Amino acid sequence: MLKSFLAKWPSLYKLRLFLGLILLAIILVFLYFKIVPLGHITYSRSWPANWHSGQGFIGDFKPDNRLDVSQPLSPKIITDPVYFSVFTPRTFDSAVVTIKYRDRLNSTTPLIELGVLKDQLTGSYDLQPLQNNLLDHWRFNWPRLEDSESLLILQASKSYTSVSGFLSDLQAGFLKNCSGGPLACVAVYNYPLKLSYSLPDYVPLRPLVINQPLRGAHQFYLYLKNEPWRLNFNFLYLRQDSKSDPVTVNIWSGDKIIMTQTISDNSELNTGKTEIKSLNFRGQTQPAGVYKIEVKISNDVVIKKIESSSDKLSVIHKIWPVSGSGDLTLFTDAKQLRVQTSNPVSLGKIIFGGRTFDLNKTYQPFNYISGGLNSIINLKKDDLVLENNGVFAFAADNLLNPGVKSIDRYFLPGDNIKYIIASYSQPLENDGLKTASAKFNLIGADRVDGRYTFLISIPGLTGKTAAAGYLEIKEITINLKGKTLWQKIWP
Amino acid sequence: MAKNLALILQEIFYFFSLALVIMIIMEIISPRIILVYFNLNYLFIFWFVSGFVLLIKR
Repeated sequence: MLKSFLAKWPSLYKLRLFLGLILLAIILVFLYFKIVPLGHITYSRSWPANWHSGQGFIGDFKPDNRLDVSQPLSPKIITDPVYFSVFTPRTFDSAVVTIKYRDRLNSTTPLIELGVLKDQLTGSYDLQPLQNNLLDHWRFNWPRLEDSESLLILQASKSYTSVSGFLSDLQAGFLKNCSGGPLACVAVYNYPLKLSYSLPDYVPLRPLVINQPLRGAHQFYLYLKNEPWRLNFNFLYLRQDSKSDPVTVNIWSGDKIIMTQTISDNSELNTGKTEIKSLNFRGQTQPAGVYKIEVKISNDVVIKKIESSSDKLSVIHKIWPVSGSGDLTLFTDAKQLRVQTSNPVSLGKIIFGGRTFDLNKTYQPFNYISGGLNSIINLKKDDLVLENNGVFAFAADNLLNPGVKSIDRYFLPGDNIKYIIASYSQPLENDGLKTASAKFNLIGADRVDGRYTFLISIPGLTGKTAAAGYLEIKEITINLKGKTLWQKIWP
Repeated sequence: MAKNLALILQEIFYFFSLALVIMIIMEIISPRIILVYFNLNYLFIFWFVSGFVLLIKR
């Protein structure tokens, strides 16, 4: 019937039908790749690049000055970190990113990590390991208690013969060959180990006031013990840019947010004049333990003052004191310190653990190692970003750190570590090319204009040319998974 | 024969015109839906060449 119908059609109509069907098919194909109805899709990009007509899904590495430009067809990362974006036509729940690379790195750059931007305001990334040469070294030099794809347990001496025995002792807070408790001799990498933490000599209701302004996002540990408590923040809005500056403060107990407060901000009302706003938390009693305070603000906002009912308050990993007055003394529990400033006025001498260091360049991170057992930091001038893998406080008595040591960029070998727990797989190597994968949860990840932002981090890589070491990227493949069309229509 | 060729060229020109319009509208509604795979400049060139050839034939 269709044949006889078409036979009566003039040739012109048949041609129009043919071309119309081609156009319809092309549109349907584009819509299919826009919707991704099956919920999973793979994008990839390789170097040197093959000819392709479109813009592609995986963007170029930025900034350009961190790449070796002598060979533009094959990007070599020479300075840490670099960023690239991945365009996706819709949202996805998870991503497995596989990178093929060749590295010429040395012992000062044992780590390669890949991260996805979780929060643009605070600039926080979810970092996952690609390569950890420290772990790869110990894997073959220390007795392995467990070595599976998801769990690696190493011990300095053969103290345990079963994983269950080790884990039960770990939770009980007593490990063999470990006199100071698990916090003293266990190190983790990419493994969420939570150990109970208490301060037996804690004196409740000893208030603390921090009048030192701190710029940008900060995180704190606060210890509370069955007491009425309060925590007040005063925020100074610098209004140096016209963007809105919302403030969010979250109080975490374990993995749960127990309290949150927000100050919304309307950039259209910005007058260019500084403003002060405050947030006040109150509570009657809280179970004894450590609470994490997360202050999410942009660098255009300063925490001007903190008032706490508990004096056990420490800043986690990163602190940015600003005031201009200088002569500041800080305390940290870590032996290493990374210092950076963008303010030429802040350049000068820094005393860390009794040793004097010279901060003589802006926009360049400097790594310092403490000279003594104590880790006191004396700053003649502030407006410096100080980072390490420990905590900072304004008095030695305020320091508290329930975190387990991590084998990260700040890790110093021989730190009395007896056990290592990690979730890490060694990269596969073939013909000099290494292949490593990292899995990310994209729910809640920052996605602007359809793009997720990724970061490749090689801590310690600060060369100006490829001769000082590099990471050459050959291929990036990203396997995305999300809800199918049917799950979206009928959740 | 020449008349048929002109008709075919006309249909091809219409095809590229419609494709260009639809794809530009799709790009406006959902940015990068086409551009991420295909550079519309190429389609524009095809459309322009087909229109130019059609004009010559006529």
